[in-house]
Amino acid sequence: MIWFVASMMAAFSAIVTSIYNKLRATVILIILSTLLGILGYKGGSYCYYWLKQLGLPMCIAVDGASVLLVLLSGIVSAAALVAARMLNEEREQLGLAITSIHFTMIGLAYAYSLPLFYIFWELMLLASSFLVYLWDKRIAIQFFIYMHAGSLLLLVAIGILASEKATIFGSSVLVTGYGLVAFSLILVAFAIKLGVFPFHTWLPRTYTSLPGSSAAVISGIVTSAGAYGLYRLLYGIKWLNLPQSVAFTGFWLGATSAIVGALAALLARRLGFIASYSSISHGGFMYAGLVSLSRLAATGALYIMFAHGIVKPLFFLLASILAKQAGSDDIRDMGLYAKTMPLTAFIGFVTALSLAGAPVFAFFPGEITVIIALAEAALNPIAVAILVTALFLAAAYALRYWLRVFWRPVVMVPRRLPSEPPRRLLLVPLTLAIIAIVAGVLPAPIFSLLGAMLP
Amino acid sequence: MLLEPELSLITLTLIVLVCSLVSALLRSRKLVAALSSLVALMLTAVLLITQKGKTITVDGLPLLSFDKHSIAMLVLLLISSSLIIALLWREIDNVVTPLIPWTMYASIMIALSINPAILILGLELGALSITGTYLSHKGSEESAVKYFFTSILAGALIIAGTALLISNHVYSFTGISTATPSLIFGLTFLITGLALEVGLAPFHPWLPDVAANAPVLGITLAILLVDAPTLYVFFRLISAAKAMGQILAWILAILAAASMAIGEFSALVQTSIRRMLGFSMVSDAGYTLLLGVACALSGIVSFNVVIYFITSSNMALALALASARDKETIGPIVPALLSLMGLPPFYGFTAKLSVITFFARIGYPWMAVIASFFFLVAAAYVMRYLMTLSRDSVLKGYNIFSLIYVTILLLLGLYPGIINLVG
Repeated sequence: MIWFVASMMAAFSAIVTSIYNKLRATVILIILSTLLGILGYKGGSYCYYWLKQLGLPMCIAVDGASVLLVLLSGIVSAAALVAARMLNEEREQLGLAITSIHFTMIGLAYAYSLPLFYIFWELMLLASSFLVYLWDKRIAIQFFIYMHAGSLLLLVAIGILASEKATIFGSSVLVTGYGLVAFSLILVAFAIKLGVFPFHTWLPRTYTSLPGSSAAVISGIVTSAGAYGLYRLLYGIKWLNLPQSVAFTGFWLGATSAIVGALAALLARRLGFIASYSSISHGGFMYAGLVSLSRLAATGALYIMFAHGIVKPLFFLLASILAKQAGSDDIRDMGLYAKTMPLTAFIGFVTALSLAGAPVFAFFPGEITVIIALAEAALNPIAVAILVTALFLAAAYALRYWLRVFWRPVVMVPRRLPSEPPRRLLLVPLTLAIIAIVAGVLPAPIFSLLGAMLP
Repeated sequence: MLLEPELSLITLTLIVLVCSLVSALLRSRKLVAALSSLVALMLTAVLLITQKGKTITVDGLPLLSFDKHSIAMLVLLLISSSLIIALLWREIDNVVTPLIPWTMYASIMIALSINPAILILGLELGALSITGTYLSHKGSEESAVKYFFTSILAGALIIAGTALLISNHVYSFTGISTATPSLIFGLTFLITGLALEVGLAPFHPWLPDVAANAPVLGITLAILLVDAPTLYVFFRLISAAKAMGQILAWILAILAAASMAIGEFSALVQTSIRRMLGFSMVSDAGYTLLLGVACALSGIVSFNVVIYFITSSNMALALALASARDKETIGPIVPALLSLMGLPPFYGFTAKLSVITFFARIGYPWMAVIASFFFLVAAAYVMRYLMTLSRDSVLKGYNIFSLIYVTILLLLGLYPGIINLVG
């Protein structure tokens, strides 16, 4: 409890300093709140009844998945704030929006009962809509309505679970009748949040309406929180007698999204769209892993969540830097940039190989774990084959982007190659790239963290 | 000092008379007049709390019941009204001030009534006082006439219903369990009258017009002191009417859904914020009716849920209307609308969560789905409006009273149990 309060207070202080535009103090407070949040790991649980008449408790507890979410939120929030200053992508109250998202993430990570989880879920939606609003009012309304629709489905599911007296994670629900309805609503609600096909339409238009640093926050934190939420609801509640067909339907939804997203990314020409469709693909991968209801697959999916949270912001920041240097983010206008931008090309290389799921890069440990777990779970072999195909397609679009931008242009015409951006602009992407490599090379600490999950 | 309930009613009447007289005599001093209204509201709140759990009966006939739920709701509404009056005290004039204590008196009559005659008395008194406040403002005569005629018609229907109930020797309008044809007719008249009074579709067209054109002080007081208690009585009537039967219950459920649909979708296309809020009130009547029907069908009544819903929506509506009067006072509309939309940490969230959980808990998750869908539509029009506000304007217009009001909305969102402490 004390770590929760301390962490929330530090995050709230970050909100206050961001209002006064004090970047250093805000970043330090974000880091402090993250560290305090992590210190609450295995600190026991605490509950009190908020709406006693309806049996709605407020409980907090922290496990490995929560720690991972807090860590991710801290890294991405701090990185996005620094990058926004360096890339000149600041707006009045941008800091307020980003720090508010971080604040809600700590609450979400600590929430161990459905009402508290939902409260922070809604607050996160409000804060993220505000972030989108700063750049595009019209898209902000669409984003809010889309996300709120998902939230309301979740609310109905929570209502049903409350009626079954399953409001604290660790409770059991019999999946018959209304329990089945609740399970299905949860699947749809998080499919919307993760941008899983066919609920993905909000995702590309929102991501591409934002500058790199803001898109980094929405993709790196908010979308990743969708995977965390799905994990909490599917594994925090014990779904008894769950018909295999329901989980299998969910799995197919995820697998289809992984393929569709990767294909769309393969055909996209603007870097923002490649990153967006790639998100849909990875969202599908996470979704398939989590919905399979195999604990090992869930661990892999959460690892992908972390990798996604690091690599997607990296990709958006890189795209933003390239667009600034070259004046366009259309890969048809690019090529041979490695000659004049070697460091940027290296960061691009790390991004591409991470997206491709190559060994020793961030996505690999998670993706291989999901595939092995699904194969062990004796699912339909075709289903596993589809996920493997999605991986091949990911490799195709990632290498296509890297080769087209940094090496072989689409059309060989004489052009003036852009120069390497100032080193300070590359500081944040480089840091994220190093984290992506470390996550690929040393997955053991994160896996051991995820191994200690609450029921 | 604890008074007997009959004595407390007499004391209450005296407070209303004195405050009304003071206001009328000190017509040139706005501040004193406003203060006398505030004193009346506060004294009444205290008096109500002391009477918790008591009933006033005359010759064995129950008239008023000081049940804890009604008192909790009334105290909350009286505090909100006091803040609204303090917020709008410059709009108070020599006609409005003496009427405020009478509106409050009507509110108590309506909310505590268990006898149809007392209900009629409260509704008529409320209609007259509110019509008076509308008439005090130039250009609001049309709203006054519309409201007055609607109330007269509603009153007539309620009187007809009451007559039929009394002819069947039923003197309490809650818990009508026998189902003779004349009783069903009486119940139908009563329901129709109340539906007209709260603006339930298809009896709603007067409501958005009045909300758009009536003076701000009048309409906010009407929302807090007449509409909210009437909605509560409407809920009590529906939820306890065992004689209603399945068919009538389902018809009412369809009417409720229609009201929610008409209210929310009409609000979605409005360009005037006040008309938008007017249509929002139409949908609120639909939600209340749906809650009542769900309680009637399941046999499980939760007064907490309906009080959370009615008070949260009406308090948010009143603050939103008070803030929307011009660009310089617009700021508090943001928390008010966020609460109306049901976003945490505001009070509206508690209401939304309670309503959805309640529907699911009593075995009607489809009602939760319907309610969720219309919550989404409400979120759409509220967000659409909020996006039109400039970033500077959201901080304008706060003063101590609006800050207290917003704090109450926040506190009730964070700890709704406060209501049970007063009730």
